[in-house]
Amino acid sequence: MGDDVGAEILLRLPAKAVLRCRAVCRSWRRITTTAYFVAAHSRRRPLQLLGYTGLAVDSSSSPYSYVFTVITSVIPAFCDGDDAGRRILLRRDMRVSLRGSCDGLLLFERNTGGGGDGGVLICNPATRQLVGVTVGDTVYWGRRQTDDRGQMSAFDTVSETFRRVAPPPPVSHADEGPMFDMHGALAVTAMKSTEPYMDVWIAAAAGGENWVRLLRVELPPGHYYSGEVKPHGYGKAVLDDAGVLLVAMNGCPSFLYDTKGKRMVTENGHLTVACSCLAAEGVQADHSAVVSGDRWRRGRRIGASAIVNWIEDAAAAAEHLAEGARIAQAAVGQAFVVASADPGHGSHLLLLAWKQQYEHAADSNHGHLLHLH
Amino acid sequence: MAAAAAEATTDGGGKMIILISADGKRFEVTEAVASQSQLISNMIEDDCTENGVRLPNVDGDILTMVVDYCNMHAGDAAAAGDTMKASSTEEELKKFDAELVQALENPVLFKLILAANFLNIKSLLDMTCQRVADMMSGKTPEQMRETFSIENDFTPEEEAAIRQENAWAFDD
Repeated sequence: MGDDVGAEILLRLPAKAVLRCRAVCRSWRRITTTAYFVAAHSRRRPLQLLGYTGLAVDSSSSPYSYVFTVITSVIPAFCDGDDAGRRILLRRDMRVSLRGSCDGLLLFERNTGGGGDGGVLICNPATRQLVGVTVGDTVYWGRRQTDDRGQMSAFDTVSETFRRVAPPPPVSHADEGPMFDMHGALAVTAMKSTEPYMDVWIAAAAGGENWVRLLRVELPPGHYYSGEVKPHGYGKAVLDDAGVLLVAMNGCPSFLYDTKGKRMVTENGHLTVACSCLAAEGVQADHSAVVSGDRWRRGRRIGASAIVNWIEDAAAAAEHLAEGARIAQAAVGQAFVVASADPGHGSHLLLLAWKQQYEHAADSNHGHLLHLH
Repeated sequence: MAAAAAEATTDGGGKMIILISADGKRFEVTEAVASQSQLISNMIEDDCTENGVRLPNVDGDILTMVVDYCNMHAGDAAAAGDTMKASSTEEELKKFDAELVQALENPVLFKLILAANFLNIKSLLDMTCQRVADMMSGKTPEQMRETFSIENDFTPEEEAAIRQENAWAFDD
């Protein structure tokens, strides 16, 4: 049987089985490590919700263990004390905080005693590989910028330019909740401080225009909703391939909402709210391939003019970067954006991976797995 | 062109095509049935099917299965038009598909995969490859070698190093 037909079969295996196949014979190892294979495998695997439940109970001594729960929409209570579906993905002699997820990869920030600045780690939960990234003195995870005037900025990965995007007209900046990628379109959650609803707005036109209110989710009074709470864009919202939306806002219990059946699936207060995230359960050797080798470490430096435009266009956003820690939210798309802002020496921003890049790229780095540091 | 088409037209409304297996068996199928193969569909577009389509790397017994499968699934493509005679229900198709792949011994299953790949019949390739993948899932490398009669061509050192790369995947 030729490599192409062999690949057709091996592509359909879960990530763990693919890794085992690499130990079967040379031919299978060759097939499963090609750039084509790793990219194709990750495209096939559905995105699943992955809940981060924090440190394992028994991890008071190092190495620390970080427990994740695979959240399946069919299990109403995804963290009810039952261990089913829970597993330890990370075991490292360091403390880390989950900062974000993109395209199946998780971004962790390493905690050092006092402040954050301990470096950034990217974890592929499917292969359980981990790679460190060092980008200047300050590294941020961001998907979209919001400033106090209720503007959003978007970064176009083709033209490499930033631009302003008008937010949904009736939503003020303070009411704006986390954004998420809804089947390729930009979606924004919003909670008005005077109404017990969460609205979901979707940009009907590519590029964030023609806002339409897609959903109005009634929130149980006195539970999620508080007249005092204003989302200010913080929190996380992610949609899995089955249409289940996970919303987590700081200070509120997270909940799952079925966007197809239009009903609340479950509420859950156990997940570490700020850290619930979306990750692919697939191979993802390919996801790591996206970011493997030199390409990953160098990232892709975008043009200086784009940076200048960005800074000029979004001075408020740049201030956020310079302040430290504040990361606004997402543009549509699957870019890992790692920005380094140094007020004294200008800013630079690295795009480490985005879909178009790895789908079209055919260079040699793509077939390799990340090496653990 | 019009005359040729009329000659080979059945009351089902489709032009007939002859498929010829490696061992010379002939199968007469409608264009709608044969077009599920992207390879043959392209040949139909290019008007290359007049004298029958020779398939030198597909045996008669395998082609029998492929033709059965395509006959059974011809309704899928034509369903939109709703002019075909009673296409099979989804349930019937599922049952048919399950029985088709589950009964097969590995060597026959592999031949069917090769045929589906050569003829470029996506749904059949999906189903047969998934069947093999399901058999592999959960097996250790040793069990996979045994199931598929594969020789271990790694040195012990190489294999140990590979297992070390992703040790967690070999835990159980």
